[in-house]
Amino acid sequence: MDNDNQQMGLYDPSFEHDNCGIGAVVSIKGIKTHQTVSDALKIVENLEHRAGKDAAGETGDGVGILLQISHKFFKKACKASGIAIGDEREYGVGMFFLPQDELKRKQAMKMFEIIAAKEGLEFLGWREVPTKAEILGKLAVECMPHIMQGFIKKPADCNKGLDFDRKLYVARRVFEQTAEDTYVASLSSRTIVYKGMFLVDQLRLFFEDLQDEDYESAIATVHSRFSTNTNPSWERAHPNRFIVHNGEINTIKGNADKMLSREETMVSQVLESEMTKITPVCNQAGSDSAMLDNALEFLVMNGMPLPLAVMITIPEPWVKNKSMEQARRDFYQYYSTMMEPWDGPASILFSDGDIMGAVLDRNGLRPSRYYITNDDYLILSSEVGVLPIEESRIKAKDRLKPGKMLLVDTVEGRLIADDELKATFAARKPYGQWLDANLAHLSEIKIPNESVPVYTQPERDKLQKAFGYSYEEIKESILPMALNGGENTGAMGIDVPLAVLSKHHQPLFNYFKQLFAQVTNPPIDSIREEIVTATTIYLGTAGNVLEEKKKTVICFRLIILSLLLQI
Amino acid sequence: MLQINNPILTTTDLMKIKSMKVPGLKAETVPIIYYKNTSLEKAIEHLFVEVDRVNREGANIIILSDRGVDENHVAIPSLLAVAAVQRHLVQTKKRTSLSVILESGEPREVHHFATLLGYGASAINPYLAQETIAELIEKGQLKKDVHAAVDAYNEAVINGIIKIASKMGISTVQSYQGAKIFEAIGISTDVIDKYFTGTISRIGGITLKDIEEQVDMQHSQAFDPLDLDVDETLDSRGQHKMRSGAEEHLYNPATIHLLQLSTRTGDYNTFKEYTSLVNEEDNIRNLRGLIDFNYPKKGISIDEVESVDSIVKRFKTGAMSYGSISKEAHETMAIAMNMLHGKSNSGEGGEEDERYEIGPDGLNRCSAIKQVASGRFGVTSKYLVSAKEIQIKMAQGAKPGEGGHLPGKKVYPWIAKTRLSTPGVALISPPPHHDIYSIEDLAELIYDLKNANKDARISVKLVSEAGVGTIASGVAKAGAQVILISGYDGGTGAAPKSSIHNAGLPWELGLAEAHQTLMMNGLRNKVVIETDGKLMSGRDVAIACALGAEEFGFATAPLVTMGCVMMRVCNLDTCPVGVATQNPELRKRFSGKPEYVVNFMRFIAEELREYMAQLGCKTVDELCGRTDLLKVKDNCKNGAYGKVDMSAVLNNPFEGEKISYENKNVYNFELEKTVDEKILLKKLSSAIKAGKPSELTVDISNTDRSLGTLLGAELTRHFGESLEEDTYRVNCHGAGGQSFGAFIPKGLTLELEGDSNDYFGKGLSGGKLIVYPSKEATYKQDENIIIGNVALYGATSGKAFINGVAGERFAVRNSGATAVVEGCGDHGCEYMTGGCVVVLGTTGKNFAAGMSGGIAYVLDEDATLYKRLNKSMVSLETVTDKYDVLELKEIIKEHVKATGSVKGKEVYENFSEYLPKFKRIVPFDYKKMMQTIVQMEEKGLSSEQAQIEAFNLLCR
Repeated sequence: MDNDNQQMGLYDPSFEHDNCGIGAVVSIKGIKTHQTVSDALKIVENLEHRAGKDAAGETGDGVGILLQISHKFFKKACKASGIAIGDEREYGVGMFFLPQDELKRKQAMKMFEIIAAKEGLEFLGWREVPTKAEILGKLAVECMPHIMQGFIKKPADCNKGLDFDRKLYVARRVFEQTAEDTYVASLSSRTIVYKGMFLVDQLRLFFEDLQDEDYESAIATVHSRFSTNTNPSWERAHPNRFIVHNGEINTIKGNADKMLSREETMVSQVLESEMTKITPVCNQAGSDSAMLDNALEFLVMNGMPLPLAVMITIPEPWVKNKSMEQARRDFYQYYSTMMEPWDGPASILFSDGDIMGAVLDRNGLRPSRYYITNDDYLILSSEVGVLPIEESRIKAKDRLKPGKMLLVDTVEGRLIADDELKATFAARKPYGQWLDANLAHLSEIKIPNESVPVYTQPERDKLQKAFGYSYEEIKESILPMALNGGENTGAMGIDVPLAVLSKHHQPLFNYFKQLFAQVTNPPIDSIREEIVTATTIYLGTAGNVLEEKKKTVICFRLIILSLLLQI
Repeated sequence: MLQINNPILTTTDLMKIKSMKVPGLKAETVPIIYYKNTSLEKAIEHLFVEVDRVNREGANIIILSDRGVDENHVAIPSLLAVAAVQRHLVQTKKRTSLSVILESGEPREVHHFATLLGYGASAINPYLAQETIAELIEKGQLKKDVHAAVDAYNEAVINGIIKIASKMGISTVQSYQGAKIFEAIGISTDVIDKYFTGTISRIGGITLKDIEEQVDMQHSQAFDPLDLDVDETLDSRGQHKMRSGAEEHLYNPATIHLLQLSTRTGDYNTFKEYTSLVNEEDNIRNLRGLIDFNYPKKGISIDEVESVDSIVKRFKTGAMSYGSISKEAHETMAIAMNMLHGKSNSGEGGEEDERYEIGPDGLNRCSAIKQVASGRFGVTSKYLVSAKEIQIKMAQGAKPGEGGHLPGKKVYPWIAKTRLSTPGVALISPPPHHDIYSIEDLAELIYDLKNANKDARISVKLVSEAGVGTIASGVAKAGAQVILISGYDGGTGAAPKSSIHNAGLPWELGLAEAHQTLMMNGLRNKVVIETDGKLMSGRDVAIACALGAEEFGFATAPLVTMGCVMMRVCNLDTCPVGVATQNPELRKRFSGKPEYVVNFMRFIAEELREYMAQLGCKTVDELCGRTDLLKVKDNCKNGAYGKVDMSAVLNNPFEGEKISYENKNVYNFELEKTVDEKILLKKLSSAIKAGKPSELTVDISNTDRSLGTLLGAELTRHFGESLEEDTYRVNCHGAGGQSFGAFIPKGLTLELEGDSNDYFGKGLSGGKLIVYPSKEATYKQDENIIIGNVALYGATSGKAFINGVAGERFAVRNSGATAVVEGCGDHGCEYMTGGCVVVLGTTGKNFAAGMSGGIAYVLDEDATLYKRLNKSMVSLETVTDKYDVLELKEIIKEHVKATGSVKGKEVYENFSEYLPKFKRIVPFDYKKMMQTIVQMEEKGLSSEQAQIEAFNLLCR
C-alpha cells in the first residue's frame, strides 16, 4: 500500500523513523462503555503536538485506536448488512485495507474467503465500513484504501479467545503472503483496530463506527504518529495487532536477523504443523514497531503469555541491579540466553482484548503517566491533563518507572503491579536450578596444561606487516590502550582521504562508518548510566524459546567471563 | 569478587574454550587462511563448507582462525570472513544454534572490534595485538606487567565498544552483536549484497577482486613472492597527524602558509595559489574532488553576479565554545562576522554578558548564533534573547552521539563564570539532550526556543549519515527554519580518535540526501539548508551550493587565518599560538585579527562568484540544488577513482523547478494562540511598561506548552535581570503542558494548582515555580507524581517548589537553581554542576551520577540511599555544619510557605528529629574547591581573586 515506498536517489524507505504520543483508557473491572471509547479519542485529540503532519498541514502521519470488539455494536451493524454473527466471541472480525480498484479488491476478497475455507473457517460476510473521506487531506485520500470488515465464524470445536484467534492468525499470515496491495489491520475475535492517515481529530470523524453510542469497550489504546517522512501510508499508523509503541527499536536489524535464524529452532506444540505458514515471523519491510509486534504475536500465538513475551523482549536491566531478588534474576538470565533485548527508547501499550499492559524501556526514555480513579479506571498517557477528570475522582497519580510493567486484567478485574507480575512469572519454573545445571562460566573452566603459543620476534614482524599494522597504530593506539585502559584522544578533524580514495593500503574495517543516534532516538551515557549496560555474551546453542524446560544439551550456553580480574 | 564480562578474549581464554570438556558444548576451529593465488571468492565458499561440516559433526562454537599465515598462506580479511559466515548462518537458519569466535591477528583498534561484533562475531581473540603488547614490554617501551597490560587493552576495547553502541542508544553488547549498525562507504553493491546484506552502501566501490589484490599486495610486502628480503619496518601512515610521505592532508605546511599569508596581506592572488593547492586535480581526497562542473556553453559576466557583500551574509563560523578556544580567538571571529553581516557561533559554552552590548570601541562581539547543546552551559533567558539564530546541536561531526568532558584544570575562573559553574570543577556534557529522546521532543524544544526568542531563527545541526535526509524532513516538520548538515570531517577540541575517524559521513552525501528528501516531501522551501565540514575554497562552496546548500559554515580555515598551525593539541591546553588554550601566557601569543577572517570570507565569496559567472548563475539561490551543473570529473570515470559511483549524489530524481528557502513558507508556530500572547502579555503589558508588580489567574491544560516563556522573554528584554523576586505572579489551575515555565527570568513567578508534564522549569533563569495538587485531591501529596521527567534541565538560577514526586532525571544539569521535591525517579541530579536540591522523600536509582557541583540534601528515612547513589563523584555525609543546617531549614520553610506541603510542614516543625535522617550529597572536587575559595576569601581576597588563587593552587 506504500505507493511511493521505494528507493530514489539517496533516499531509502528503510531510513524512516517515527515517534509519537500514546494513551489508554481501561475499565479495570472490564465494564464496557462507549465513554471509554470516547475518552480515549479525546486523549489522542489532546496529543496534537505529538503528532506530525505534511507540508500542507492537512494530512496527518497517522492516528489509530485499538478496541475490544463490541458485540452490542456489531450485532446491530451486521444485522443491517445481513450477516449472522452469532454470540459474543463466536466470531472474528477482520479490518481489511483493500485496493480501491474494484477488480483487484474483489480478487483479494475472494482470495481471503478461499484461504479461510482452506484453514477450516467459515466466512460469514463482508461489511462496508462507513467512512468520511471528504474530511481528509489530499495526500491521505490519494492513497486511501478501501476499508472493509470481514466476519468469520468460530469453529465449534475451537475454544473461544486465544485458540480461535490462533486460527485467525494463521489465516491472516497466509493471506498476507498471497495478496499484494492489501493490509489486515487486525483479525481477531477479541480486538479490532481503526486507524489511518489522520490528523488527531479526524479519527473519530472518519469512522462512523467510533461515534456510535452502541460501540462499547472496556479497553481502548490510542496512538498519534509523528513520522520523519510524509511518505503516504495508512498501514504504518498504529496500533499494530497487539501494541502501540512510542519510541524506537535501535537494534532492529540484529533482532530481525536473529528472529529469522531462530525459526529453525522454534517449535511449539500448538502451531507445529502450521510453522511454514506463519514464517518468516517478521515482515522486514515493516517498521521497527511492526516487527516487534510480529515477534510478540508469534510468541503469543505459540502459547507464550503476552506479558511474558513483552518481558523477555524488553527486559529491565538486571545484570547490575544488586537489589533484584535471585528468582527474578534467574528468570531474566534464563531467557536472555535465548532472546536478546529489543533495545531502544520505548513506551509500549499492549492488549489482547482481555488484558491491557504497559511497559517502559530499561532507561526510562519515554514518558508514561497514569491515574487510577475511585471507580476503577486506569487512564494512561504520554502526558497528564489529556483527559479532564475531577480531582476528587482520582485515587492515585503515578508513572511507569524504567523497565517496569503494569497490567490490567479485565477478566479478573484487577490491576497487577510490576513486582507481583514479575514474581509470578519468575516463580513459574525452577529457572535458577536449570541455569546452575546448564550454564558454564568461562572463569570456571580449567586452563589446560599446554603452553600458550608465542611468536618469535621475526615471525611477529612479518605478521604485523602482513596484517597491515602501522607505526602509529602501535604507538598511538595499542600502547596507550595497554597503558591506560582507555582510548587515546585527538583534536581537530580529519582531512585525509576516505579509504576508497586513499592511495595507501586500508584495512577493510576502514570502509565502515559507525551509525549514531540523532533526533529520533537518543545516544546514551555508558559511563554515567552504566547500570543499564551489560556486556555479557552467551556462546553455544540457543534453545527453543517457545518451550520452557530444562534443556541439557540444546540450551547450553557459555557465559564469557574474563578470569583475569578477580579481586 | 569482581567479575568482568568481556567478549575480547586473551589467548589463554581461547585455549580454555578449545580444550573444554563440558557436555553440550563443542568448540571447533575453522581456518580462514587460504593458499595465495586461490581466488578469495573460492576461499569463502570453502569456508562455508567447512563451517557446515564441523557443525554437522556437532560443534556449536566455531572458532574462525587466521593463525598460520606464512609464505604460502594469506588470510581472508577477518571482517569479511565473520560477515560472510554470519550471513551464511542466518540464511541457513543456523545462527542461533551456534556461535562464532574469531581468532585473528588483524583487529587492533576499537573500531575494528566494533565492526567484528556488529557483523556477528560473539567473541574475539586478537592474538597479534596482544603479542604486540608483549613486544612493547620486551622492548621497554611499555613498563607494565604483561597480563595487566593485556587486561587494560581488553578493557579499553570493550569500553570503546560500549561507547560505540551507546552512540546508537544501545546498552547491551548482546543486542549490539550482529546488529550491523554501520554504513559502508566505498564498497561495491556485489560485495555488500553477498556478505554484508542489509548494510547501506550508496556510492559503490571496491569489489571482491580489489579486496583480494589488496590482501595479496599487503602479504607480498611481508613475504616476498621471490623470497627476496623485505623491509619489515612498519609504515608510518599519518592518519591523524601529518607525516611526510604518508597520507595526504588537506591542511599541510604549504596550504597553511599560503592561507595565512594571503589573508594577512589581503592578497587575492596568493589566496588563488592556496586554492589551487587545495583543489589539486590528481590528488583526490574527498568526494567533491571527484566532481567537476558541467559548464554551460556560455557563462555570464562576473559583474552580473551577486556581490561579495551580499554573499558573505550567508557565511558563518563554526560552533566553537568559549572554553575550547581563547577569549581572543572567540571574539575576533564574532567581530569579523558581525562586520560582514554574516554570523559567528557562540558554541556551547555560553557568552559573557558584556558581549551582548556593542563595546566601547564600537565593535560588536555578540555571536549572532547562540548554540544550545546537551550541556546547556550558560543558556539563560538573556543568552537566548540576544540571538539572531538559535542552533540546537544534535550531533558534532567529529564525535556524533557522544558527550563531552571538560576536565577541571581547563575550567578557568572566567570560563566557569560564563558557564555558570565552579572553577576547577569538571564539566560533563551528556551524550543526548535530555529533552530530546525522539522527534516530537525536538519539536517541543524548537517550540520552547521560539517562545524564548520569537525573532530568532531556530536551526538544527545534524551530522551526515545514512538517513539524515529523512531526519531532516522530520526536523522541518518539527518547525526548524535552518537545517545544518555537518560533515564527518569537522573539527573538535577533543574526541576519541576512533570517533574522529570512523563515525559520520562526508557532507556531500548527507547534504544531497537532505535536499532530495526534503524535495520529495514538499518541505524544501520551508527550510534553509546549511552545510559545513572542511570547506576550504570557493570551489567547495560552489559544489555544496549546487548540491542544495544555501548557507555555509567554516571553522578550521578561520582558525588557521588567526594563526592555527594544526598542531592538533587543542585537547592539551598547550596551543602554541594562543588559539585553543586558556593559559594566560600562551594567549599572549595570539596574533589573529578580525581583518584576516574578513579577508578569508571575502576571498571565498569572490572565488565563488567566479564559478557562478562561468556557470551562468546570478545568485546563490539560482545555483542552489542545480545538480545538472555538476558531473564526474573526466579523469575519475575510470581507474581506481572510477569505482566510486556518484550517480546517487549527482542525479537528483526530484530535480525540477528551482527550489530554495522562501520566507513565506516558514513554519507557523501559531504563537498568537498561546496563553502568553492571548492573556498574559495582554493583561500585563501596561504593568510591564510601568515596571509595576502585577498578578493574575488563568486556567490551563496540557496543550498549553511552554507557559510563561514568551512573557519571560519580554521581561528579559525590558528588565534584564534587574527585577525583584515575585514582581509578576501568574496563578494557574489545571494541567501544565510540557516545558512549563521554561527559561523564565527573575521576577516572574508561576504557581500551579494541579499537575504538570515533562521538562518542567527547563532552563529556569531566575524565575520561581510553585506546584501543588488540587485542593480537592484525596490522594497523599508526597506519593503523587506531580511533574514529569527531566524537570529543571539546564536551570541556571531561580527556585522551584514541588509538592509531590517528580519523574526521571530531576534537576539534570542544574547549575544554579534551588529546588525542593518530595521524591524523584532514576538518575536524579545527574550532571548537576551547581545549585541546591532538597528531596523530602525517596530517590530513584543512580542518584547524582556525573554530579560535579552543587549540593543535594536527601531525607533518607530508611537509610537506603547508599544503594541508589552513584558514588563515583560524590560523597554522602550527614548534615552537621551550622550554615548547612540553617540553609536546609530555610529552604524547607520556604517550600512549606509556597506550597502548603504536609510533609514539608511535618519535617519543618520537627526539624531536630528529622535532621539526622538527612544526607548531604556533595561532589569531592567541588567541596575541595569551595573550601579553598572560602579560605582565600578569609585571607582578605576579593571573591574574584579568591577564585583565581584557588584555581591556581588546586589545578595548575
